This record gives sequence, C-alpha cells and structure tokens, in this order.
Amino acid sequence: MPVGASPSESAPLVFIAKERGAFRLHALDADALAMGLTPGMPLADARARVPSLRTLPYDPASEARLLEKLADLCDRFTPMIEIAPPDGLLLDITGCAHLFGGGAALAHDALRLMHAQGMRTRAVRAVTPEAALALAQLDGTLRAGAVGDEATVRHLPLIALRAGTDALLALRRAGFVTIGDLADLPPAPLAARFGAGLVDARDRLLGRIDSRITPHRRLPPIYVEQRFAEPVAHVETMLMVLGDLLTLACEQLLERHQGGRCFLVRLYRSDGEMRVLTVETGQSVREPAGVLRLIREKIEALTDPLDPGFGFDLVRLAVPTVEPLGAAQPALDGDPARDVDITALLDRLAVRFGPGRLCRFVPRDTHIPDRASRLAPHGEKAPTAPAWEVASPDEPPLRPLILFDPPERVEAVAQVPDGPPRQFRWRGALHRIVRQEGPERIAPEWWRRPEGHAGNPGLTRDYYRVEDERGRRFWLFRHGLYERETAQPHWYVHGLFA
Amino acid sequence: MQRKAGLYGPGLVALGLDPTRLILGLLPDATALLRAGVDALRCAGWGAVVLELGGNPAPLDLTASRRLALAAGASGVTPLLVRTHNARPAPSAAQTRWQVTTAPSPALEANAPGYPTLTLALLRQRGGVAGLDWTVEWNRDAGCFRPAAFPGTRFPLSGGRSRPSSEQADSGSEDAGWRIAI
Repeated sequence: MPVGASPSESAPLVFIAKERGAFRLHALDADALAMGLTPGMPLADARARVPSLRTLPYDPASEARLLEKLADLCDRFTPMIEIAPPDGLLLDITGCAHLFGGGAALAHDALRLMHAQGMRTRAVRAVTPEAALALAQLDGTLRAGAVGDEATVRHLPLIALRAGTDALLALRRAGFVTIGDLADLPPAPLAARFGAGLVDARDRLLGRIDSRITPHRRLPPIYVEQRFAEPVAHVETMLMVLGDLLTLACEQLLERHQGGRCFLVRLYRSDGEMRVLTVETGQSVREPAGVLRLIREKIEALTDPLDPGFGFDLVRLAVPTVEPLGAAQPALDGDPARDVDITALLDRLAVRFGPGRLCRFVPRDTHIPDRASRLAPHGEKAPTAPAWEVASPDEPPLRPLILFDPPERVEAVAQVPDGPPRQFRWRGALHRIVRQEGPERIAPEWWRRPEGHAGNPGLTRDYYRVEDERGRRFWLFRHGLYERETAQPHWYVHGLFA
Repeated sequence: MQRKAGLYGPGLVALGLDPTRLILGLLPDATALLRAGVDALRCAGWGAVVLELGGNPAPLDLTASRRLALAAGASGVTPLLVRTHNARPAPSAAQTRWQVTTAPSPALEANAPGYPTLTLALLRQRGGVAGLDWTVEWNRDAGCFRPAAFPGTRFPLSGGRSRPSSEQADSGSEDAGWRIAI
C-alpha cells in the first residue's frame, strides 16, 4: 500500500484505489485538479506530471462513515435526510424551512455548518430530490441556496438522468445533448425507444412527477425537541428542559397506549458538534422522572464528560423503540410498586455498569454441562427457552453449584480402565475420596465438531460425584475412555457441590 | 483463556431454586458492588440480596456495612454478605455472623455422597447468644434445612429461639419475588 512520503504539507493530495490491476486516482483535492489531474488517471502518469503528489489509499467505508456523520449533523434542520453516495445529502425541508427564516436562510445555515466541518459544499433547492441533486452536482453557476427551476434543469447535460452508459450513448447518438432537448418530447415514443425508466427520470428531474426521499434513519414514532434562542451553557438547565420534553413525550406515549424501550437524546451545540445519549430500559416505560434519572446516570457514567462548550442550541428527544403498554393499575392487595421498583433499579444499574454485567440464567437444550446454562444480559428479549430439568424427589443434587469454565486439570489416582477415582491433587492439595458415585457418562456432541461425523466425535466424559474426608464435594470427570479413545485419560474437576 | 468459576444454573435447580428468578450482577470492583448492593437493598421487591466479596477489600468497612444495614432495615429485604477467599472477620453492622463449612454427608446407597451437609457456626449475634453450631443437611423437596441424619450425633435445631437463620432466607425458594446474587 503506497503511503505518501510527502515533501510538504501543501503538496496536492489524491486518494488512490486499485482498479484493473493498476493504482488510479480516485478523488483529488482542489490543487490536484488545478494541476490538470483527473479522477481515473493512473497513479504512474500523475506522479510523472506532479512528482510531489501526496497519496492516500481510498477507504470507501470511512468515506461512508463521514457522510453519515454529516447527515446526522444536518439532522438539526429536518429529520428527513437521504444519503446520496458518494458525496451528496438530500434534505426534505418541506414544512421545516420557516423555522430557519425561509429556505434560503436554511441553505445558508447548512452551508455554514458544513464549512465549519471543513467541507466545501454547494446547496441547491429544487422541487424534486433528483433535480436538487443534479443541479448541486452538475451546475456550478447557481448561487448558494438558489432555487433550481425548470429552466435551469433544462440546461443540464444528459448525465443528470443517471441512466446507464448504454442508454446515455444511445441518447447521444440520437442527437440529444441537454435535458431541454428531451423535455418537450411526447413520452410514448421516448419510452418505446429508450425505456419507460428514462421518461420517469426525465419527469422527476423536471418536477412533473412527485418524488420523495427515503430517509437513512427511520423516523422515530415519538419525537420532541426544544430550540433555544440563546445557547444554554449549563447542563442542569438543559436537563430541566429535557425533563419537560420527557413529560411531553410520555404524554404522547400515554395517548398511544405505548411505552418506550429506548430513549435517544441529541444535544446540538451551537458550534455544530452533536452529542448523543442513549438510554435503554428493560421494560417499556413512560414515566418522565425515571427516564430522567437514567439519563443523569448516563451523563455521570460518561467517559468524556458532557461539555456544553458555548452552549446547546437544540435539544431533541426521540423514542425510537416503543412497545404497547397498558395503563398501570395498582393491584388490590399488597405492594403496587414491587416489580416496577426492581425493573427501574435494574435499568439504573445497567446504565451505570453496562447491560452485560446484569445477567439472568437461561437454560439451553443440551446435555453437555458446559453449555446447559447461559447468562443472558439484562434487557435481552427472552426467547422461548426450554424449561429447566427438574430433579426427581429424594435425589441428591447431581449438578454442582459452582462450575469451572474451563474445567481444571487434576492429578487423580484411579483404577484402570474405568474405575472410580481414589484420590486426587487439585491446586496443590491432596483430597482422599471417601464417597463417590458414578460414572455418569456424557458423550460429546459430535455434530458440533468439524469432521465429527467421520470418526472424530470428541472424547467421552465419565463424571463422578465425589466427597473427600472433610466433606468437600467435587464433580470430577475422566476425559476419554481408556484405550478406546485415549491412551492416558486426564482427570479434571469441573465443579463444586454445596 | 480466562479461568472462571461461577454459579451454575442446573446446580441451582438441583438445590431446589429457580435460576430464572435470580438476577446476577457481576460488578467490576468492591466499591461498585457495595454501591449497587445499597441501591438493590432500597428496593423492597427482592427475596434476598446476596453480595459476595472475596478477600478483605478496603471499601468494606463499618460505614459500608452500616449503609447496607440501614437500607435493608428500611425495605425489609434480607441482605447476605458472603465473604470468601481468606476473608478476615472485620467490624460490621450485621445482625449475625455465620461461618459455613461443608461437612461429611450421610452416605446414600453404595457409599454415594448424600445430601448437601453444612456446619453452620453462629460466631456473633447482636444482643444474643453466640458460639453455637449446627450440622444440617439441605432438603430440597421440603425446601429447608434438617439436622444431619448421622446415627448417634443429633444436634437439635431449636426453631424460634433466635431470629431465623440467614441461610434459610438465602436458600428458601418459597419467598416470592426476585433475587439478586452479586
């Protein structure tokens, strides 16, 4: 991977990608463009022209991430944002523009925001997303935030149709140059010759067919926000406002007979930064105070503290995950808040320490002891688990209270070939066995092993419950059947009984 | 590979407990554990709250145990502080202090290990007698401890003389609600 050995920081910068066996320029900065380099040019040619070229490998994934981040920043203007790779963002500002003093002002705000992020952007408004995108990408003459009308669209080249290369070639051969050439043709012959898709694309560009964007984030069902005329620089004040927003959101939830499982707070700073706080709950809730407490816990637990900077100018609360939740009715007898209390506590602890630290046992349908029980983190939707195997009455416990994972190796003395153990040494101490029961023979799950069906099923385990002279009870096993599966079976202690 | 020794679901079933009613908290350090313990004890819904602490961590002092005791007093939940790995007795605000050790079990047929048998020693009790011990075996089917059935050695377990044994609150599965073992 060639990494640019840069003669100077100001040398032209290009991103290169390997195409058809050669490194080619993929994206170029303004200096490189000014020197006459073009995308798609082989790197060797470019280096010959500009020896001081700085190169970086092109990384589509991080480019997509950057675009997504920018899309999230534009979230403050409208929730309806579509990402148009490789370099476009489409914002549906229907009904939002007046909040920013009109569409032109909104476009200027957006440009300023992008400029603060170090982006050089063009903003164009148009009736349809296709027209806006084509004008922003192809028409360099429009001033910032201008409205592209049909007349401007007519000047666009055919590439604005985003048709395939074959279709474009066919159109060129037929003598068409701009969209305007196609604009007034009757649709039927055009469709007959170039396909119905082309007519649709033309009509969308010209705003004759209504067209909508597909937002890259699904709109949350519940969505409230508060804008501030003056940025709020105190976290406490912001939390107070958040409390009001939560009350509003919970009222909406109540009307819909729903509760939230996930609460998403977005804090937009006046300098363009955005912070996201996510709080998840184990059960659907719609109690503002409880959620606010969770958010406070979250803020306390943040590794890098919440920095208001010059202040937040927008707080937005979304409830992306909702579930049905009927009206709460206290039971006639006893404690109404018993279960609710515990759920709230678990949510709080899960926010503080992470959901992975609060677990529940879930049984698994297998006879292998290691896998028979699983710890499910808090909040995980419980699938229909098999029931725990219930022991028959009058039977002593056959499974240990404490299980070692992995089993610990011991040195045991036992009768050959398959007698019970007499004594064993574990963690340096010798245990003489006075009582034992076994073996309980557990065959391996050959179907889980690669080549398990073809003579390599794994080793059988012979489990013994043993008790030493001081009354300590162990669960030992011999790994492998003597001489049939292994020459020298090893012994392991797998668990401790109460 | 990290060595782990943890509670085992089928093992809890074998003792007559329902593992699905147990919430297990695995916390990073003693401070977090004690803080979570106090929070949990403030909540009245638990059957019992068990905190397990290995060794002699510094955060576990008289103040910490007093906090636990106060929280438990307000909610009525039984707290159990299990100390393992060479723990030394330290000043504590607990009502009772017990030492639990395994004891040889009465053998079943063919010299098989029998029911879980434990020696419970009451080391300390606030305003009560101490220094007693019992050898008991856990009966899963009845959900209680019974005096161990050794021929000739019977220890009467006098019920009602002192407050109910903490271990019974721990192991009894009949009490309603959830549990946390930490």
